[in-house]
Amino acid sequence: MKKPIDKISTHGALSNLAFMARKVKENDKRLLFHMPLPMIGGLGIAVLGIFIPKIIIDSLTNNIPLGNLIIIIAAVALGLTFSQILLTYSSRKIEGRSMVTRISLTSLWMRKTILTDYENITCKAGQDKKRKALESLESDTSGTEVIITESAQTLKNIGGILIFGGILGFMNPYILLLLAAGAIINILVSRHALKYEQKHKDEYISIDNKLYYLREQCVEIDNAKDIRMYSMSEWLIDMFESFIGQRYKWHKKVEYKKYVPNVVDSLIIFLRDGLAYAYLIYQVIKGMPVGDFALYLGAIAGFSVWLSGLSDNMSEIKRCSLQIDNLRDYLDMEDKTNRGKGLPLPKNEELPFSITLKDVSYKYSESDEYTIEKMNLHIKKDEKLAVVGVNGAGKTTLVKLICSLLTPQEGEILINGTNIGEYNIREYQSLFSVAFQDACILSFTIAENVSMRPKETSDITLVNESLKRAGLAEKVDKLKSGAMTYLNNIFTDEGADLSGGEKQKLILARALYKDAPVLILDEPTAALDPIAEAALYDEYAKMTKGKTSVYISHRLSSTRFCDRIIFIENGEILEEGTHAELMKKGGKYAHMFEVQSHYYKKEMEEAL
Amino acid sequence: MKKGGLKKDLNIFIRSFKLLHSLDRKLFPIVVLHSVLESAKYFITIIFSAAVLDELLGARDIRRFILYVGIIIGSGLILKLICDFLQRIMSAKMRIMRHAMQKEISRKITQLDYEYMDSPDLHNLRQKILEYENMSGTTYQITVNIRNFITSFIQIGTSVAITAGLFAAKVSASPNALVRYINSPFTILLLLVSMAAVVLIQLLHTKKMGDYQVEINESAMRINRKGIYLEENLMGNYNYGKDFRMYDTEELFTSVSSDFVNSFDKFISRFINKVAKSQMKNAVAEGFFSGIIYIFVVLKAFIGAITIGSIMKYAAVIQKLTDGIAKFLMAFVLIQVNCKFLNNILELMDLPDIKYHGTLPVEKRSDHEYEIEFKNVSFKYPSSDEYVLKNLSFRLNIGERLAVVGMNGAGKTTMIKLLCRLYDPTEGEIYLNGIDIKKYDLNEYMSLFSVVFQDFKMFSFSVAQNISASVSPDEKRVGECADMAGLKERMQMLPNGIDTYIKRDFDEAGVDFSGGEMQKMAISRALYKNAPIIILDEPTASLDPISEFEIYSKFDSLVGNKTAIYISHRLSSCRFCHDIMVFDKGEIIQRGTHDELLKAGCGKYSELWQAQAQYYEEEA
Repeated sequence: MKKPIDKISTHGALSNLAFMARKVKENDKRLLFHMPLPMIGGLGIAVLGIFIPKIIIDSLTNNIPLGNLIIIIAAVALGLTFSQILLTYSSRKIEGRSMVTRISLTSLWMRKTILTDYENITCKAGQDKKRKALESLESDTSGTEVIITESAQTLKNIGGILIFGGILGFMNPYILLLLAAGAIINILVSRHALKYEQKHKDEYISIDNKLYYLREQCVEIDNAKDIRMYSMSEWLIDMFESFIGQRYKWHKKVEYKKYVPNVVDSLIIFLRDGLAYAYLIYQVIKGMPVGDFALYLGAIAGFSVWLSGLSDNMSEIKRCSLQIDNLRDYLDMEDKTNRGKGLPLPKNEELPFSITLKDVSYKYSESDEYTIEKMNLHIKKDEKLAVVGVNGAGKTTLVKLICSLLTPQEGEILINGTNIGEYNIREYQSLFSVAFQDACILSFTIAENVSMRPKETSDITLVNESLKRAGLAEKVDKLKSGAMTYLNNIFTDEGADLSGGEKQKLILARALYKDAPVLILDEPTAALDPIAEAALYDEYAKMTKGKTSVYISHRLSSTRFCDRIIFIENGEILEEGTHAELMKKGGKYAHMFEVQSHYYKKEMEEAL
Repeated sequence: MKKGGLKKDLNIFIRSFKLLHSLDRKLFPIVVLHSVLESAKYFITIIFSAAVLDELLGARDIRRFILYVGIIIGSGLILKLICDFLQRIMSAKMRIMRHAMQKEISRKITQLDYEYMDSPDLHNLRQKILEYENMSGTTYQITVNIRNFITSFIQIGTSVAITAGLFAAKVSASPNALVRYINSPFTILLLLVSMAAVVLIQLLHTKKMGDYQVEINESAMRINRKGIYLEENLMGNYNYGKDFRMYDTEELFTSVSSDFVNSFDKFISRFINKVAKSQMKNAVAEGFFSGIIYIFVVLKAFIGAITIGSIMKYAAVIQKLTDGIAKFLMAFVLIQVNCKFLNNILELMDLPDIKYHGTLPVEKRSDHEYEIEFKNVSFKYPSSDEYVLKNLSFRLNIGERLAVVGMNGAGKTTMIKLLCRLYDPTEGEIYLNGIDIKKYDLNEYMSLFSVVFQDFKMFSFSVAQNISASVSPDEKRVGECADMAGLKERMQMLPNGIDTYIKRDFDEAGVDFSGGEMQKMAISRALYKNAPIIILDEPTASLDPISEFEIYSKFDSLVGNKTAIYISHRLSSCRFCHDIMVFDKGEIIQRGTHDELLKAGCGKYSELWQAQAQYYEEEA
C-alpha cells in the first residue's frame, strides 16, 4: 500500500490548481488580480532592505553631502512604506477572499450530498469520500483556502529567488549553486520528518477522535442523568487522562523527528555563514567596496529565506492538492439511478397505482448476507398494506427499495407494470410521501419542516392544515410565531423545542403536506401515548383515501385497519393475508399477536 | 479602557495563568528560557556584525575577523540548536494544553448538580466555551499570546539596554554647529517624541484590532454555529439523506446555503477592510519612524559619535525596540480579548452547588427495607412557570412492584427525577426511612437507585466498561449481569465477548447493536450497580413484541426482592405490577391494582386501557 506522503495525487497538483483557479474565476474574479501584489510589495521591502546598508555606508565613506544623504534616506523610507502598504493590503484581501471561496465551495459539497444516489452516501466507501472531501473545506487550514494563499506566497518567493539570485549571480554564480545545494539537503531531510508524521497520521487521529468524543459526551445534556446515576465522572475522566497521555506521546515523537531537520539546518547555516563571511571579507580586502559587503551578506541570507520559503510552499501546496483530490473524487462520484429524461409519470386517471416487486434481492455493501431475498410482492392500487416483523427483518429496507433509495441487485420493481428505472428518479420519488422512523427534524421553521421548501415558497395554509391533521395544531398555535417559529437555537435565539411525540407528529404532517399518491408510514406511533395513537388509527382511513399505502409497525393493533398484512422475517415474506386469515392460520403472526395482546386479552376474559 | 475593566481583566488573567500553569508546570519556564536565548542570539549577531563592518573600515586585523565571525556563527549554532529543541518541546506541550483544559472543564460539568443541565445559562456558557475553542483552538492561542508577551518583554529590555549606548555616545564639545545640534538633548527629545508618537499610533491600531477581534468572535460564532449545523449535524447524518431525497429539498438547501455564503461574505469583507485600513495607517507611521531613525543614526555617525559599522546595529536595535513594543501591545490586547473567553471558563469552574449537600450516610440494609415518602411535593422546572407536579403525596411500598402510567407529559419521569434527587422539590419534602433526603450524602443516596431512563446512553467504548461504568470492570460480575438481562447468546456470538466495542467509532471490530440489545445492556448496567431500588422508564418502547415479552417475563426474576418502579404508557406492562399509580397533569389521580382500577369504571386508567385494548379484542 502506498504511504500517504508518497501518494500520487489522482489529479495532480497542476490540475488541482487549475480547478481552483476556475472556481475562483467563477466566484471572485478580482481575487486573481490581487495575486501578484504581495510579490511586488514583498520584493520592494526586501530589495530596499538589503540596499540601505550599502547606500549608507557608501555615502558616508565617499563623503556625500549630508543634505543629499538625508534625501536619499527619506526616499528609501517612502519606498519601504509604499511596499509595506501594498503588501499588507493585498495579503489581507487575499486571505479574506480565499476564505469566502472555501465557504462557497462547501455549497457544492452540500448539493452533492443531498442529490447523489442515497447508496453513495450510506456505504462506507461513500461516507469516507464525503468525510475526506469535507476536510478540504471545513476550516481555515483546509486545502481549498490555503492553496490560494500559498500560491500568492509562491509567486513572491519565486520573484525573490530570481532577483536575489540575479544580484548574487552578478558577483559570483557559484555561490548560487552552493546555496541551492544547501537548500536541497534541507528539503530532503524535512521530507523525511513529514513522512513520519503522515505515516502515523491515522493512529494519532484516532486518539484525537476519542478526545473529541469524550469532550462532547461529558457535556451532552442527554447524558447527564446516566452520568450522575452511575457515578460515571471518574470513569470518563480516567479515559480522558489516558487518551491525553497517548496523544502527548505522539506529539513528542513527531516533534523529535522534526528536530532532525532543524539540526541539519543549523549545521548548514553554520557552514554557509562561515564561508560567506570568509569569502566576502577576502573580497573586501582585495578591493570590493565595504558597502557591497553588507549588500551581499544580506542577499545571501535573503536568498536562503526565499529558497526555504519556496520549499515550504511546495509542501503545503502538495498537502492542499491531496485534499482537493478528495473533494473532486467526491464531487465526481457517479450515480447509478436514472438522472435523465424518463417516462412521463402516471396521469391522474391512472392514480393510485399498484406496486410490484419481482424476485427482488438486495444486499447492503458491508454485509455478506442478503437483507431481502427473492421477494415477490404485489400491492394493489389503493390497498392498505401492513408490514410486520421483528427488528432487523428487512421492513425498512423494503421501503427504501420501493422508494428507489436503494437499487436491487436482482429482480425488478414496477409501478402499474412499468419498471421504475424508466422514470427520472426525482420525478419518481415525488410519487411517495414517507414518514421515516428516524426522519430529520430541521432547525429551521416549523413551516419549512412541513413543506421542505423555503418559507417564501411554502403554502402556509396547507402547512397549518397538515399540522392540524397530524394533531400538532394545538401545540403550534400556542407558539408566538405559530408555524413560522424556529425549532432549536441555531438560526434564532427563541427557538422552540418539541417532545418525542410532537416530533413524530411533525413528520406525519410533512408526509401529509406532500399529499403524494403513495403514503408510507414507518413506526409512526412509537413515541405517542395511547390517546394520540388511537387518534392516528382513526384518521388513517381518511389519510389514505384514494392512495396506495404501507403501514409498518410493531404495534399489531395497527394491523386491524389495514386490508392485508405481510409478515417478514429474514428478508422473506413468510405469511400474508388479512388479520382473520393469519390468526386462523396460527403461524408466526398469530404468535406475535398473542404475545402482545396477552395482557389485554386476559382482562377481557375476566371482565366477561 | 475603564479602570474597573482593566483591573477585572487583570484578575481574570492571573487566575487563568495559574490555571494553565497548574496543567503543565514546565511550559512557562521553558518559554522564558527560549525567549532569553533567542534574544541573545539575535543581539550577539547584530553587535558582532557591526564589529566586523567597523573592522573592515578600520584596521582589518585578521585575528579580529576570525574572533568576531567565530562568535557569530558559533553562538548562532549552539543557541539555534538549543532554541529549536526547546521550540519542539513547547510545541508539543502547547498543543496538548487544550485537551488538558477540556478535561478539567469536563470534570466540572460532570460533577455539577443536575439542575444546571436545564439552566439556559449553563447551556450558553458551555456553548460559548466550545465555540471559542473551535475557532482555532483558543487555549492554544492563549498560550501563544502569553509566550509573545514574555518574548516581547525580553526583547524590549535588551533593546533598551543596547540603545542606551546610542544616546550616551557623544563627541566632545566642538565649535561645529551641527555637532552641537546633534549632541543636544533636544534632538534626543525629538527622537523620543517620534517614537512615542509611533507607539501611540500602534496602540490605537492594536486597540482597534482587539475590539474587532471581540466583535468578530461574537459574529463568527453565530456563523460558525450555522455552518457546523449544516455540515455536521445535517449533512453528517446520512440517515437524513432519505428525507432530503424523498422531499426534494434542493431548493430549500440552495436557499439556505446561499444565505449562509452571503452573510459570511459580507461579514468577512467588512472585517478585512477594517483591518487592512488600520494596518496601512500603522505602516505609514512605521515607515515615517524608520526614516527618522535612520537619519538620526546616520547623523550621529556623520559627526563621529558612533562608528559607521554601528549604524546598522543601532538602526536594527531601535527597530527591534519599537517592534517589541508593538508586539507587547498586541499580546496585551489579545490577552484582554482572550480574557473574555477565559472568563467563561472561570465562571464555569466557579459554579457552586445548588443543592444542599447533607452528610448523613445511608444505612445499608440487606433486607432492602427502604421506605420512601413524598409529602406535598410540588415541582416546576427552573426555566418554567408551570407546575409539572402538584401536591404529590404517596408512600412507596417496600419490596414491591409499582407501575406508574399516564399520558406523555403527565409528570411520570419528573417524579422519578425527584425521587433520585436529580432535582429538589419546589415545595414539600421527600423522606427516606423518615429522614428528609436532603440530609443524606448525595452520592450515597443516589447509590440506592439503579435507573434505566427512556433515553439511556451508552458510550462508544467496550460493553464491559459501559455495563460497569468503570475503566476496570469486574469481568465476572459483568458476565453475570449480562446473562441475567438476556444477552448471553449475543455475547457468545462475538469474538471479543464483553470486550467488544459498541459502535464502530473507535474500533473497526465494534458492533452496531440493535435497539433491543442496547436496552438489555442498559438493564445489565442497572443490575451491575446492584442498588436496592430499580427503576425502568419506558424500557420497551422501541422493541418488537417478542423482545418486549422477553423483558416482561424476565422482569420478576431480574428484580428479585428489590423494590421496582416501572413506568410506561404501554399498559400491558401493568399486568405484573401489584400496585399501579396513574398520573394525569402532574397529579396522582388513581392508585390500586389493575382490577381495582378497571372496576372503577370511568377513570383515566380505564380510558387509557380501552384506547389500547380495543384493537386487541377478539372479533365477536
